[in-house]
This record gives sequence, C-alpha cells and structure tokens, in this order.
Amino acid sequence: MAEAVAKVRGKIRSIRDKYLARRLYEMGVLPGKNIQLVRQSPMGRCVYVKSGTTLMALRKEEWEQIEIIPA
Amino acid sequence: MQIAFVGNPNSGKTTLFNKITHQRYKTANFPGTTVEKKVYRTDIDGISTQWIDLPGTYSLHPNSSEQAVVLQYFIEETPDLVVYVLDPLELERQLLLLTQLSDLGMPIFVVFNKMDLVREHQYAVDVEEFSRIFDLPAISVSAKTGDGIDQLRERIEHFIKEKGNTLCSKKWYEAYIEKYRNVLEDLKRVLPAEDNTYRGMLLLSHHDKIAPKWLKEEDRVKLRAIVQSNHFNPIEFQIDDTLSRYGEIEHIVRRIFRKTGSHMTTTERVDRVLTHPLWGVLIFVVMMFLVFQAVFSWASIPMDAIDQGFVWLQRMVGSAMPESALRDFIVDGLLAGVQGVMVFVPQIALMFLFIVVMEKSGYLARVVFLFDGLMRRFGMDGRSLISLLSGTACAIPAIMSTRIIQDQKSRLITLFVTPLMSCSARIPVYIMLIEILIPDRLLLGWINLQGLVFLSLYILGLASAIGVAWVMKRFVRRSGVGMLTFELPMYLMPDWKVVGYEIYDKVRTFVVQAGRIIVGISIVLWFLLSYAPGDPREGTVIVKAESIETSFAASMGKIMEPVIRPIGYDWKIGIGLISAFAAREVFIGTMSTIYHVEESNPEGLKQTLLSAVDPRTGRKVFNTATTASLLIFFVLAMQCMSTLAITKKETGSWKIALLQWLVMTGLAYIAAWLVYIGLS
Repeated sequence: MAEAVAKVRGKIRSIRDKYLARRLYEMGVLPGKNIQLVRQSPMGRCVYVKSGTTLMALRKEEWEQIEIIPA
Repeated sequence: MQIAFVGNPNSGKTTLFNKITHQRYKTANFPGTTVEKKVYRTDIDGISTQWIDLPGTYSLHPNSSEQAVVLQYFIEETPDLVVYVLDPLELERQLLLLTQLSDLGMPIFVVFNKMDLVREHQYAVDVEEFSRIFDLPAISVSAKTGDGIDQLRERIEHFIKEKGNTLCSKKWYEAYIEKYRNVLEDLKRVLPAEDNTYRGMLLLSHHDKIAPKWLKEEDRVKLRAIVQSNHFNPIEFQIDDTLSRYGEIEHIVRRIFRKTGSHMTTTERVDRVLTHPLWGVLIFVVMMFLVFQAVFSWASIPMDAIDQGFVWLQRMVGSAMPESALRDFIVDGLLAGVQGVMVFVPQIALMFLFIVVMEKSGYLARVVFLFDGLMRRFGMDGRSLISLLSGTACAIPAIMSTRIIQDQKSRLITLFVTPLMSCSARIPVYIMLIEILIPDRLLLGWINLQGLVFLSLYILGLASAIGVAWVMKRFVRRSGVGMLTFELPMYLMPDWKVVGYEIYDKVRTFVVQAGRIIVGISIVLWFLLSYAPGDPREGTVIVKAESIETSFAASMGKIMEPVIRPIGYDWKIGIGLISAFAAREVFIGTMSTIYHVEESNPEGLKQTLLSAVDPRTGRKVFNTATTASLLIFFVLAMQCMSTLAITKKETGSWKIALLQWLVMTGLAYIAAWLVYIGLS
C-alpha cells in the first residue's frame, strides 16, 4: 500500500509559507537540498519525508508549501 | 556556578547529562516543580554548582513554549559554562544553535557525542579542525559506551576550579546584521543595559513569548514601538539569521566531515514496516494491548509484597508500643499513609518504563506520524497522543508535556481531556472494585476476565477524552498557526541505565510530591475518623470517637449523602470520595481505615467490603450496581487537586481548571447514575 504512493523527489526551490520555512530551515532543510516523499500516513494526512539524511513527518498541507524542482 | 547542557533534540544530550550527574555526584535532585529544565546541585571542591539540562532545540528562536524555556533561560541568565552536545551524524544541523549560543558570548565546551556510531558508519570527523575553526574546546565521547565521559567530566571540573574562559571571538551575526542597523540603534537607546547585540535582537523578536524577570511592562511597550516604527518582522529576521548561519556552516562541514556512501539506513528499512499504514497501526495496537496486560500482571507481584511488608510492619510497631494515641497515629495514620504511596510505585515505574523506552528508541515519533490524522479529527494533533499516553501514568507530567504542542487550540483541548485518561492513581481503585465486582475467571480459556474489564475502563477513559475533545473542537477558537513538522529520529537501542534514571526521577517526583499530600491527607483523615466533636457542657472540644459513626468524618459523609445517594453511595463511600480528592488511591486507604476502625476484619479489605451491609436497607453496600457505578465514577471524575493546580499553572486560568472539574465530575455523576439505575 505504502509502496504504491507515487514517489516524489527533487531539489527544494523554495518554501512558500514563512512559518513553515523558518521551522524547516532551522532543521537544515534549506533551498537547494534534496527532498523526497517516502510514504503517506494511514489517513493520508501526513507524509514521511527524507531530506539529506534527515527523516521528517509533515502534514499534507505543509508538504504542499514546498516548491520542488523534480529530479 | 551554572553549567547548562544544550543541544538539538535527539543529540543524546539528556543521556549524557544523566550519565555525568548520576554516575559520580551524590546529587540533591529537585524534581518536579518544572519539567522545563532539570537542575542538579552539587559541590565540587567547595564550589557550589548547578547542572542544568535544557530542553532540546534546533535554534534559539522558539517554536513552542517548551523551546521558549531555552530562550528565556539565555535571556535571563548567563551560565558560567555551556556544554554543547552534538550528534556528528547530523553535523550540519547541530551547528546552527552552536553559532547562536556563541554569539551570546558565553564559554562553550563542545561535545561530539555518538562517536561509536561515527566509527561504525566509517565516517570521519575532524574534531581538532573543528576546534580550530570555531575557536572552542571540543571533545569526542560516546554517552552510550561511556568512552570519553570521564575525560569530559574532568575537563568540566577543571574549568569550574580554574574559572576558565573559552570564548569564541567570531561574531556570526555580523554577516547579515547591517540590514538591521536602525533597529539596533533604537534597541541600544531603549535597553542600554543590554550589551549583547544578538541577545537584544532575540529579545526584540520574541519578547511576547517569554517573560524574563527583569523585563518590565514599560520595556515591552518600548520594544513594541521599535517593532512598529522599523516595520521589523521577527519571522524575516529569523529566516535571515538562519540562512546566513547555514551559508557559513555548509562550508565548514565540508572541511571537517566526510561521509562514505548514502545508502538506505536500517531506520528507513524498519520504518517500512513500523510506519506502514496497515502494519504500523496494527503493531501499535497489539503493543499497547500487551503493555496494559503487563502493567496489570507484572506489577501485582511487588505490590502484594509491599502490602504484606506494611501489614507486618504495622503489626510489629503495634505490638512494640503501649496502647496510646501516638501508637494509633503511627500505625493507622502515618504507616497507612506511607503504604498508600509505596504500593503504587511498581505501576508508575512500569508505565514510565514503556513510555521512556518508546521515547528513547525513537518509536514515539512514529506513533505521532501514524495518528496525527486521526487526532486532528478531534481537535488535537499527533503530539497530543503522547500527552494522552503519558496521562495513563499520571496527568501531572502529561499536562506539562502538552507544551510540545505548538498549536494553542490543540494544546488547550489536549490538556483539558488528558485527566480523563485512566492514570495510575486509579489503578488500585480499579483493582479493588474489579475484584469485588468480577469473578477471577478465564474467558475462552486464556483471557483473564478481570484484565478485560480493566482494559475496558481504559478504553472508556480514552473514549470520553476523545468525545469531550470532539465537542470542544467546535467551541474553542483557533489561534496562531498549527504545524506538525518534526524529525523522525534514528532508531536507537535505549541506554538502559538512563532509562533507569528517568524512571527513578519520575517515581521520586511522585513519591516526594504526591506522596507528601497523600501521607498528609491520610493523617488528617485518620484524625477525622478517630476523633469526634466534644461536648461543650463538659468543656471538651475534641474527644476520641467512640465509634466511626460519631466521628468528624461521619458528619461530613452524612452531609453529602443526599447528593450521592442517587448514584448508590452511602456516607462511608462519601468519606472515601472526599479523601480521593487528595489523590484517587487514597480512597483505598480511607475505605480500609473506615472498615478497619469499625470492624477489624483479618481477612483483608476485599472480604470486609464484600460482606459489608448497609444497616438501613439490609443490602450489601458493595452490591453490583453500587460497585459498577463507583467504577464508572472513578473513570470519569476529576478527583485530583494536584491536576487542577497544574491546569491552572499551565493555562494561567482558574476558569479553565474549574471548568475541567465541572465537566469531568458532571460527566461522572451522570454516567454513574445511569449505570446505577440500569443495574439495580
């Protein structure tokens, strides 16, 4: 089931929402870094994301704030 | 002297802190007053030192009230030494906070933790080069294997004795601060005492989130004026601050850190199962089921031993002392009270064992990921689940743990409903009442029927918490921005010693804080039960009660009897409910005191209660309807004054605490009434 989720990967172009940006930036998830959607949570409202070696959980709407240049 | 331990979340900081403070120093621990920072005090060669463990954070800019604690600490205090713990496997991210602390102008010691893992992964970290670039002393250790810990402690102690000074001369903010020159000039005029540029900027950005002792209301007004006149945007400042630092950090990391290959880690492989939408949820549910079975069955062995130990002790003391009021006080007041506290320790310890292991191993973060969607339907977020789960140990630390929830609405709802989760104080009451109500039988040959009922009480607590949350979601206004975004740390085998320390600290907190109240109340109750109002005509104010029927407590129970009669309780149970407001488990002590004082039955409390008959109706007091009603009442009612006090403290409002009491107790009364009517 999880494997069926379309995998998205690429480089971060920017993060639209500033509140989210400051949170992700402080975790070292910066413009120009690789980012990849790994899987979705049971109700599809959260995503499991990998950027560099950092593994993170984000909400769907937070994920949508991240502009990605597809690899 | 203050030594502050700082670092990112998951850097292993607390593990290191615990190893250093627990292993060697005979420390006086002052637990419990805050979860925000742990403080140990000890003397080193006659110098009194305070060791402070601050919450983990990525940055000095706070995202939650827990992180605001870190900022507030550094705005208020300048520690004599900062021990900065970092995880070299995630080096880049660890350096942001380090550069920020360095700009505050304090001596810093850098500790490269987890060196065992660095070797295992065959990474290369050049600690000497790091030390040269940052102009800060650095040492590599492994909190897990213990390598380098002694050297670290020696160097810290050396620093304390020599009053050393290791300041980094580089000012990282200089790269971008020009942009904020006007703001800085205004700031210098308003706060001339603030000589540190970076601290001033942090205070300006976040003065509405922290409350340093020295910051007066007029200062706040002036700070607000600066923000307005300069169109200063704190979020923009934070982004500038963060990106500028990372710009430099990226270059540095390339010089000191080499990594070989980038393959899928074990953590990611394990997560394929544990965060799987189906298997992940299933594994969590099964695990929780096993945990509750374990807490129920494992704890009963030490609990029985503690009970028997106290029975023996009471008998010994009772026969060694001549008959007197003092003997009664020691045996029935003091010892009974201490027993009420100690009997409870095995369950709290076990519950915390599971929570701490889940947290330390990194699994708890996955639980948040799995259940955030579900929790949000009820106005909470994934983090609320941690508070609700901690609530099964004790509502007090659980309510404190809601600080990790950034969204104020979610936080309020979570802390409001957390006391509905069955805390361990309810366990002894559940056990006693279940043993009266349910025969000790196996269902289908392997399921313990009492255990099943026990589990269903937990489910009832959880269900009512969710129900109340669902209603509240509609009434509470949303404020601020709610975000989830958190790190899923690497899975780690927990350090068992540290798990032990943490459990010890939590149990100690319970024994010291709740224990004092419980022992105190049980002494007051012993007095109320053994003494009676005197006869003014004979000139006596207080006399020894001839029987419990004439005691002070009886009068109180009788006053409230009309209120509790409809849900099936007599005045004796009423006394129990009054006493349970100190802490729920006191109910047991009270019942045993009441029935012990009245009819010393050697068969134990259970048999006594089972055979107790209401003289008025001739029916058993603890009949099915009353016992079931009482069980339901204990699941739902707010009967803990410590919880109310903590709600008041965390929300700053008696109104919310009072509302919490009203909602829970009202719910309990109605539910207990329905059960009583239905069964009788």
